[in-house]
Formats: sequence, structure tokens, C-alpha cells
Amino acid sequence: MDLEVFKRFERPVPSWFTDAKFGIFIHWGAYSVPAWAEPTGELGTVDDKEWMKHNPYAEWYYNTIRIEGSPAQKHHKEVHGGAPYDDFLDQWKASKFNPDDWAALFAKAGAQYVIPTTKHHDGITLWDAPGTGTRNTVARGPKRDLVGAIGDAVRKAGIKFGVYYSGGLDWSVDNFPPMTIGDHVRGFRPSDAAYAMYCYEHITDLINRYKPDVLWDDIEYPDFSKREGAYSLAAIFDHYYKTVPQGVINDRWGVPHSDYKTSEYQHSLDNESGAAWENCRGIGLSFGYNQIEDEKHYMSINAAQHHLIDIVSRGGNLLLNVGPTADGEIPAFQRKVLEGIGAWLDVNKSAIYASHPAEDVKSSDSPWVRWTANGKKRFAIIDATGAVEFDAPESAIDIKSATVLGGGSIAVTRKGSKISMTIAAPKVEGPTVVAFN
Amino acid sequence: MVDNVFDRFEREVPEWFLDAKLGFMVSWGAFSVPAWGEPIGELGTIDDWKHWFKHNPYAEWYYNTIRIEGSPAREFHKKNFNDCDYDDLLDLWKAENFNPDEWAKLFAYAGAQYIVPLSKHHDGITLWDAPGTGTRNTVHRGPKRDIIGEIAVAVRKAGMRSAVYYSGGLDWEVTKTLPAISDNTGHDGNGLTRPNDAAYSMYAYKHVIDLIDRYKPDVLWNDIEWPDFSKHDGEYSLAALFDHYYKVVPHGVVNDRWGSTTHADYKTSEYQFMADNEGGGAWENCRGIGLSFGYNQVESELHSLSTESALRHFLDIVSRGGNFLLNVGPTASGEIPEIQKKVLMGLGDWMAINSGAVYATRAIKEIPATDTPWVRWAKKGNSVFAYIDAVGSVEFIAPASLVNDKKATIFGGGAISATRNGDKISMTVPAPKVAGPTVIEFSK
Repeated sequence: MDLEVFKRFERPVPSWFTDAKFGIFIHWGAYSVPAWAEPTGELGTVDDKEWMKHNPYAEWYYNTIRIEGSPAQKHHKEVHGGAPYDDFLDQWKASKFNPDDWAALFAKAGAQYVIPTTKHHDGITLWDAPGTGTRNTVARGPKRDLVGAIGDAVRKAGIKFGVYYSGGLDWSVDNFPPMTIGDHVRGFRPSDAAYAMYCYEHITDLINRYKPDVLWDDIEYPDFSKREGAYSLAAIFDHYYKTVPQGVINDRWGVPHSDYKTSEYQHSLDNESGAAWENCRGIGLSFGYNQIEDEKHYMSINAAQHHLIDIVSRGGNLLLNVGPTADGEIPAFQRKVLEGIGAWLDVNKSAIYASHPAEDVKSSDSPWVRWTANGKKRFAIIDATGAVEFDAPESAIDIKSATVLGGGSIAVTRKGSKISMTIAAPKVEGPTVVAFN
Repeated sequence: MVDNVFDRFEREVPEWFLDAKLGFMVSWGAFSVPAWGEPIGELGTIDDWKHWFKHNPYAEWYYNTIRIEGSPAREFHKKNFNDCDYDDLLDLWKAENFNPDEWAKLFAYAGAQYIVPLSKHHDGITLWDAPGTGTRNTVHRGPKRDIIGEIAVAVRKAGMRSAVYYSGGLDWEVTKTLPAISDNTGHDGNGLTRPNDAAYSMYAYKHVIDLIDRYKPDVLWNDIEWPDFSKHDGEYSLAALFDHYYKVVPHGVVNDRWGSTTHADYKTSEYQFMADNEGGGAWENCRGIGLSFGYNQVESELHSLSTESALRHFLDIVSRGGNFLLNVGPTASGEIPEIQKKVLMGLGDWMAINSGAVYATRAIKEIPATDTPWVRWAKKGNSVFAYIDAVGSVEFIAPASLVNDKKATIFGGGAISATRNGDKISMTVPAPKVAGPTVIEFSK
């Protein structure tokens, strides 16, 4: 494998992506029917030996139920009679699916791009992908081109549209035993010529039909494709950039090219640096809807805002996941968080979109302060009320220019490198942003 | 899977195939480099499948056999090839003496009417630059030639039909992460030993479509099975594949190894395996000259058919209405080994005189074959042919209603007198001009 060939794709990251800051991930699939997982913890915080058997990711249901002695296996026997996984595809009716309603929610939340799963590890495609026969949502279950429906709706709402595709895992094509440890994820994956061709046909079809603004591959990509020539990954990239010149590619292809890096919950945090990166996570501990989760597993509005702001202050994007129910509804707790983010962004968006990290000021946790910059402007995003004092060197901040976003000017006093002010109770739930020129 | 999807392909078998009688399979691949198998016996004569796979006489199964713990092939591979990756053998395969016109000349002389080269055997290496194979084919590596294309051109130029063998059932590139096949239980059903999924279905589909479009093969000879996911109608399906094939090659025929629920123009047997398929409609028996399809350097004349036994096998098949697909296993350099060449030349010498009494014949079931003396029968037009492997005075069953003893001639020679005694006739068969049975033609 001559992976060097991928270096020819190096290019500046399109600014729309680094300006976007906030995207919505959608995990919807046959796994949304059982919608069951053990909410053990965040990826990156759970012991590897325990993760797979008690996988909190509901979209991994088909793997988890095959692990002998797993609670999911027991659940599957008791509740679903041990039925074949594909039965869930037929039971997935999406009867209340209203893509315009989803798009309106995402727009209200302030999302700049939306990325649904088009094929997750179970191999079921959410469009009538080439060679899938009837094993897709057009022929069975929802009986709709879900990728196209979501794409049309979000673009109509002014939001960019990307696609998630699991190139690394496809449990319908491999013959591997279930994965029980983390190393299996990259080891137990189809990598042969046939699967490479299949993925190629799928992704070029996604490109041709939907012209996705983001190609979000997961896990890896079949090794046989890592070359130039017909059906190669290099040919996919060529075709993609030709068809969507402003498109961006994530970093999970296992080759030395990506437009941006990704982290997931608290996993791969090393990637949170460089010109462009994106952290993804669910609102709870799963991407696919997990009916077991309750408020103790969800991020509060405040925590979600903190997470977004912290990422933006470090130059990243947040790809926050929603996991719709099998009916097609976005669960109330998820909706609440999105609306909370949106209400805050509505007032404070100028501190977020198109911002970049403020290198000359430091964040702090007491009080909770994060900084962003836009040209010469500096934004202190402060989650505190009443009198606060924090670091802000004179060289960086002109205290006389301070205004509260969505409010008026605010009096700031300086004592050496520290500034202090009195923050009023915010009009919308969330941190207060003080802007400096 | 709808049961009747494949019913629409039911059709008369094209006459050319029923008339052809003799074809050659050509088993050539990276496995021709080690060219090693244990000549333990003919397929269908060894009951213990575990024993078969561990000591597989089929040299083309080398990649599987060397992965079986404790197999002599594994030892051989370690000792002689330093346990190298199988794909290294592709690079070692140089085909430096490959001359397709010379092959075609030999095949034509031997009397073959159609040639079936492997385009992809179980190792998954394609003998043309098949879609999606990257460099893992003979065009980019090893021989650096489009072997399928070159053979097709050469055999057609020599007046024969050109077909392709394709292993749709097994592809060890696709299943390389699975253990080697060590038993024959579960070839169907459990999906563990052969790839059955959507991805492999698409891959195999595109391969065979490409073979059809490029080479317009007169026979599509699939092996083992076809991926289950494809056994339906619609895009990338096996039904779509057949549709395309019959549209592009209306006189083409497909064999019976696509899966029993699908479609076949004719049935196949292999050595002594699946002998049930011999009879009732069109059928074909295939076998190597020795005990392997791929060239096996371990074999000697001891393991091989002689001209005489090859002719008996062939004419026995003809007398029962079948075709004989005899396999040739070239060396890695592209030469037909002497043992095989001798048999082909022997067939050709015999066919040079007698082919007119073989091609386009049909079985005549009413006349029983006998083994002492060895007599087989076939008919064509107003003639009935007796293939008699005996010299001197012979007597055999030949009912007066079917065999006119007054009009007997030695095919390609003069008249011969026959004496009737009830259902039997007797005659004195002279020593033949060429090795092999004498053909007596009885006209009406």
C-alpha cells in the first residue's frame, strides 16, 4: 500500500467548515426499534474490557446482542424473542418522520450542517444504495429515501448537508465473530476487493445524488482501496472534490489525507488541534436512541452550551448527535437541549460563528470563562453572575470597549492582568458574552 | 427469494453445445508456480472430506491446503517457498513461454470444440484486468497479459468456441480472514465458507458482466455456487446477469453451478462426483488428465489417463449423451506438460479419422453398452455408430430393429462384414490405424 499517494489531496480547509462551529449528527436506523443499550459511560472513560459487552451505543445493538452473556443479548431474547436483526428494518416505520420539522428544529438550534448516517455498521442503507437489493429503507421499513428527504429539508432551511458512511464496518458483509474488545474494531473489518468496490459504488452514488458538503467516513476504509486507480479511495476523493469543490472529508479513512480531524466524546482527544477538527457526541451516552437513558445520562442545556463553547474556543466544531425514535420523532430531552443551544446562539452567535481561538487570553474554570476572537474582537464567554474577576492581559483587551451581547455596555475595571465586572442575570439561559474591540 | 424468478430462463439447449462433445478446460494460475498436490485419488472416490482437503490432489487448491495445520502441502510451502504470501506466487508466475496460438493449434488438433479457461479460480486472482481487482490480476502482475483475451482470440481464430470459467462460489481474497476450508459440510447454508453478501455479489456480478461484454463467452462456467444475496431479480442480481448474457450471447449456455434454485442450460459432473447429473438433458463431465486440474509436478503417468483410457472415457460420455470437458494444466511458464500433450495428440490422432462419428451424435439408449467386448453406441441422422475397443473376432448386442448389419463400414475405411445371430452380431475388427476404439458405422 502506497499511502503517500493521498498526500496529493492536501489543500486549505474550506472556510465554511471552520466558520460553521455547530453541526447536527443523526443516528437513525433499524437499531432505533429496540433502542436499547446500557448507559455505562462516555467513550474514552470506560474500561476497554467492559465497553463492548455493555456497549452504551444503541446503534451497536447487533454486535452487543451477539456477545455471549451480555445483558443486551438477554434483553433481545426476552423482549424480541431473539428475532433476526433484519426484522427491525421492517418494524422501523418512521410513521411520524417529518424532515421539515427536523430541519426547522436544527435551524432553530443554530446548526450549520447536518450529517445523517446513510449506512451504519449494520449495513442497512438509508437510501436505495447500489447492490443492496431490498436491504434498504426505500424497499423496506420506512419505504423512503431518508437521505434524500433529510438532505432536501435541511438545505431548504439553509443548512449544509453531509453524509455519514460506515466504510470500516459492515456486519452484513463480514463473517467475523462479534467484537468484544476495542482492538477488534480495526481488526474485524472487511478489507477485501469486493467490499472495496461495494463501498466505492455506495459513496460515488451518495456524491452523485446528494452532493454532500461533508463526507464523514467511520472506523476505517477497506485497505484494498488505499491506492490509485479504478474503484480506489483516491478515485473517490478525486470524484468528490470535482463534484463538490467546497466539500470536506473527515479523518477516519486510514489514509494520510483528511480535511479535518475528529474526536468522539473523550476518545481521540489528541485530534483536537490543528487547522480544523470536530468533536462528536450524543446528548446522552449513545448516538442511536436509547430508551434506557434518562436525565441523569443527558447533558443539561448548560452542559451542552459549555461543551460547544469550550470546543469553539479551542478552534473546533461540535457535531452534536440526535437519535430519533423509530417513529421519527426527536425525543423531548434532545429537543430541549437543541432549543436551549439555539436560544443562546440567537443572542450570542457573533461570538461563535466564524470565530477563531483567542491566542492572547486564557480560559478559566472559576469563574468559567472561554474566549473566542474574530479579527480584533475578543469575546469573553462567562458562565457566572454577579462580580467576577479573571485574567485578560491589557495587551489583548481594551476594557473601555466592553459590551454585553444582546445588552448594552458594561463597566469593566482592570487590576494588573486581571479584569473584573458585575454580570447581570442573563436574558436567555446560558453564559453571558462580553465583547471587546 | 422468489422461487420462480429463474423460470423465465428455461429454454432449449443450443444445438452447438449438444453437438460439441469435446471441450478443454484450462486451469492456469498462481498455483501453477508451486504446482503441488498429493495425488490421492479421484474426486468422488474419497469419502472422508477432511482427508481430501488436508491432502488435496487439486493443485489449484494450494492456497487453501497450505493453510491447513499439519498438511503436507503446508510443509512443502514452508520448505520450498519459505512460507511466503500466496500472492508472491502471482509475481513468480511469468508465463514466459505462453503462446496462445500454439495452444489453440493443439486443442483444435485434439478435437476440442470449446475451450474453458479459468478467468478467476478460488484464489481470486483474475486472468484479465477485472473491475475492482486493482493490480491483483495477470495484466498488472506476473504474466502481465490479458490471458483470457489472448486465449479467446486464439481459439476463435482456430475455429473453436471460447468460454470462461469463473469461481463465483469461492474467493479466498474476499474470505482471507476466515480459516481454510477443511470440510465439505456447510458449503451451503451457514455462509461461513463462501462469501454470500451484497458486496461480493456486486463484485462477482461486475466481473462476469465484464467477461460477457469483453469476450462474449459461448459458455459461462460458474463454479461452486453463486452468492446467495444475488439470487433474485433486479440490479446486480443473478437474474440480471443471465438476462444480459443471453442478450449479448443468444446462443450461449450456462452450466449448473449457480445454485440449485436458479437456472442451468446443462448439468455437470466432476471425475466421479455428482454422477447423478449425467443423463437427462445436456450434461458435461469434467476431469483432469491426472488427478488435478492445476498442473501438479508430483504426478506421473501413473496418475494420468492414457490416450486409450481418455478415449474410452470420452466415448462412454458421448454414448450417454454428454460432453467431455477435459482439463489441461499448463506449467507456470506456459507450456502444456508432455504427459498431457501426449494424451491430447492421441485424442487428435483418433479424432482426425473418427470425429465425424462423434460430433453431433446423440445417445441411443435402446442399445445396451457392453464392457466385454467394450462397445458404446451413438447415432446421427441415418447412421448408428458402434465404438468398439477390441480387435479380432467380436460379438455384441445390436438389435436388428436398430442396427442394419448389411450396411456396416469401418468409419473412414471400407466395408466390413457382419453376421447376425438374433439380437447379436459378430464381426472381425482389424487392428486400428490409430490407437483407440474402432468405429463401425451402420447405415439404414
